[in-house]
Amino acid sequence: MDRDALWPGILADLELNLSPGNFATWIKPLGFLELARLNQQKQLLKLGCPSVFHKHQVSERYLGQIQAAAEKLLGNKCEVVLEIHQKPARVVKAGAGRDDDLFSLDTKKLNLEAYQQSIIKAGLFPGMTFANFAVSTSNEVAHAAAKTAAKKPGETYPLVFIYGGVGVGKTHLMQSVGHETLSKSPHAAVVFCTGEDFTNEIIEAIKNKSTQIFRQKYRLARVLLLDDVQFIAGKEGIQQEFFHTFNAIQKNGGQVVLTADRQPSEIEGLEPRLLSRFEAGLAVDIQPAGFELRTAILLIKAGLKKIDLPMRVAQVIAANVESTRKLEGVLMKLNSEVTLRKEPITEELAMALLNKFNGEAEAIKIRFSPKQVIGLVAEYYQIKPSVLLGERRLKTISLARQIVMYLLRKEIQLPLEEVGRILGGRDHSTILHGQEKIARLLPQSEKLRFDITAIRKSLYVDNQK
Amino acid sequence: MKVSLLQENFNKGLGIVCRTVAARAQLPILANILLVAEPGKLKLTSTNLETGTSVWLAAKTEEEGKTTLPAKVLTELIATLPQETVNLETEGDRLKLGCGRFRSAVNGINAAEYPDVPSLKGKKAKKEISLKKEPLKAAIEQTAAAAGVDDSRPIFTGIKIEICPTGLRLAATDGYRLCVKTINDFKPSKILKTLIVPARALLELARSLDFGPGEELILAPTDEEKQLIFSLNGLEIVTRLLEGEFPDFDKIIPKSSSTKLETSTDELRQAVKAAAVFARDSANIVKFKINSLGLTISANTPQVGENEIDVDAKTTGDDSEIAFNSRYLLEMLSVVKSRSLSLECSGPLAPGLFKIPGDSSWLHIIMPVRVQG
Repeated sequence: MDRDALWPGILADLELNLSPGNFATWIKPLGFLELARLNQQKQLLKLGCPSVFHKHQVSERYLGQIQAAAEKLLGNKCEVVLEIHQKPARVVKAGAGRDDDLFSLDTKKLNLEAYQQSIIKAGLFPGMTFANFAVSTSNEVAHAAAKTAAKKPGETYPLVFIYGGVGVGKTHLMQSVGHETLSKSPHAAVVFCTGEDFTNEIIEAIKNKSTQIFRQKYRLARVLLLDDVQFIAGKEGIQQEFFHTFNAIQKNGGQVVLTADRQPSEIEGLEPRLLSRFEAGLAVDIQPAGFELRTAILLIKAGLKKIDLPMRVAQVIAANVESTRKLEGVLMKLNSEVTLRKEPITEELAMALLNKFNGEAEAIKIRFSPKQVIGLVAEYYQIKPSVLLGERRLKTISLARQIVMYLLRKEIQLPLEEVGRILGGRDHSTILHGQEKIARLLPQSEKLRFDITAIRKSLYVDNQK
Repeated sequence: MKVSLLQENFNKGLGIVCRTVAARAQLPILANILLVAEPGKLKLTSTNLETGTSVWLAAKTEEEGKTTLPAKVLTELIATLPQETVNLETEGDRLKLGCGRFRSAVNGINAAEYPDVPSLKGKKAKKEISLKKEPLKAAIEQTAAAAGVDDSRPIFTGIKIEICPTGLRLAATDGYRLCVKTINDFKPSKILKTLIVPARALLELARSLDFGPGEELILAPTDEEKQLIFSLNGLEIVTRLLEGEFPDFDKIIPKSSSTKLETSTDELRQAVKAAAVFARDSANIVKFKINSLGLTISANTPQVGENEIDVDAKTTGDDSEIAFNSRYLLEMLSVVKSRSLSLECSGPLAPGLFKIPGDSSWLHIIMPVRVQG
């Protein structure tokens, strides 16, 4: 007996023996669930019924008849079991002719669109998210503070004050707070502006008699991101407006993130009441990026621009370029170079480019005298300048001498022969070797990087005096 | 059986059980009401095989027994009787009925054929949840309007009841609107459960809750029988539970919005009603125009005419336009009792979220109608 034909067969049998009313009410709503073999002689027929009413009634009145019909068709013993099981309704596929209902609505897409619109409205830069932010010891505290602020705007740290030098990532971190907030709730009132924008907008508002709109924009913000707040220092009226804006936001439980180039107490011309507010917030600093962080930043930037940058090359660049902004410039240049020549990125190429790049940048810089460089290196390593120019080849002395070669080539761009002449009449190949050795060591030795940075720093400081 | 009771009680009891009598029964007995004389009580039962209702009425029973009588005849008959004692006595399948100077005899069907309606009486249910009547009644009335009536998507004809330690959450949707209501005034229950109960059964329950005294009712769900019994003093409603996957509605509740407005519920209701006049022949579309000045509701049907109603509203955020089906709006507005109502929306395509200001226990989402131009 074909199992698919069993249930229709039973139905046909019962339809003949029952009144139409009883058949339609009790038997027809039942559904075939499964047929299983219990043993040689006996089979098990499972039927589904739509409700407990059916189950009671059928098991009391019609089970015997169903069993008899089934046994007749199967030719052996059959046990009938009832289960409450609603017939699966005709499957209506989501989207099939009903693409306009609530549950087929693509909320993700709607949210993404809203998010993209609102980052433009808020004045945020598209790439400046937490995902693209490299973290190391120099900025981890600031990163953690920003993350917390983004997670619970206005709750844990209602004011985060980020300070640090140029190009350390203050703005990126601040914008990440905005991005994070908007990606969670795309319609949150997030406002990003610089201290200068803020100043200009007030002036504009006063001129156009539209201070009301200005106030609504800023005071109702859920997250206010004000970059370079030191710009408003010393401007009395602007500071007053900012003070009220700040208070209004904090009163509504909003989040404020500020950045400046120095800590609040060192900003000159800041009103005492603003200073006290700033000091009540969480002030975190970002130190200039170290070598590892620069490498990481470089790799992230390369990843964003879809440039295949080998780790070694990234290290070479990071070791030779200190400013994070300049990193991007070098990377761009490297990329255009590579696309032009249709060659892969190599260390040599990077080195050549770095020399050129540094050269161009240096051209507008102040020039140091070679004597200054020699003096500083000697002072740093506590050896007499005359020893550097001499013939002794003690390891420490020759390293210091090579550093001098490196710096003279890098910072002053003296020709090889000239450097050789200055350093006691050495051959140009010696100079080239020395310079390349330092460049090679730089990615590997933290100590060497530290020394050279320190010497460079004092070189520039000396020169400014 | 031989039993007597007050006409007033009898009438009230019939009023409740007659609502779950099968409307178009193929089996004659399902159009009947089962009468069972128990000691000191007369039990009335009806079922449409989805939901069953039983009420117990105070009565003087001289002889126990049972019979079934046509619901329509019995209800109409009892309603016309004077407020006196009604005496019932069976003679075979016929019931003799006397009340004052009224004497009748009704032809019934033997009770043995009547389906068994499960009951909690005499049994101790293992898992019970007790609830206050009033908040449940309000919650059912508020949510049921959003439930579907289309049997092609059976799951949408149900109301999802989530029982969790902090409260009870009811949700109903027909795919185009969603209503969620939380009841926090709730005796903590250790049972965590999600039930999908037919909205029709819950509405019957809400209408019947005033029947007996007492503040509380008991919910007794059973898994193996896929049924749920509501029990209160002298009344039980048994209903089957719906099987299937209730859509994940939490993810469609908008988390934020670009435009918000708050207005008086009465004013909004009046405005939508007025707009609906001109929306009737154009797919019930009423348009909302929201700007800093307030809300303007409009509708038009080229052959009939058009109107525009300004509604005072406190608005924040961007200017926005959104169109809704007036029927959905009116059904929602008819169950909202609060003085004010807020609407949050984000452009003409994203769902509109209605809330009661200061009351986070209720929300209603309506899918907007796409309008060209």
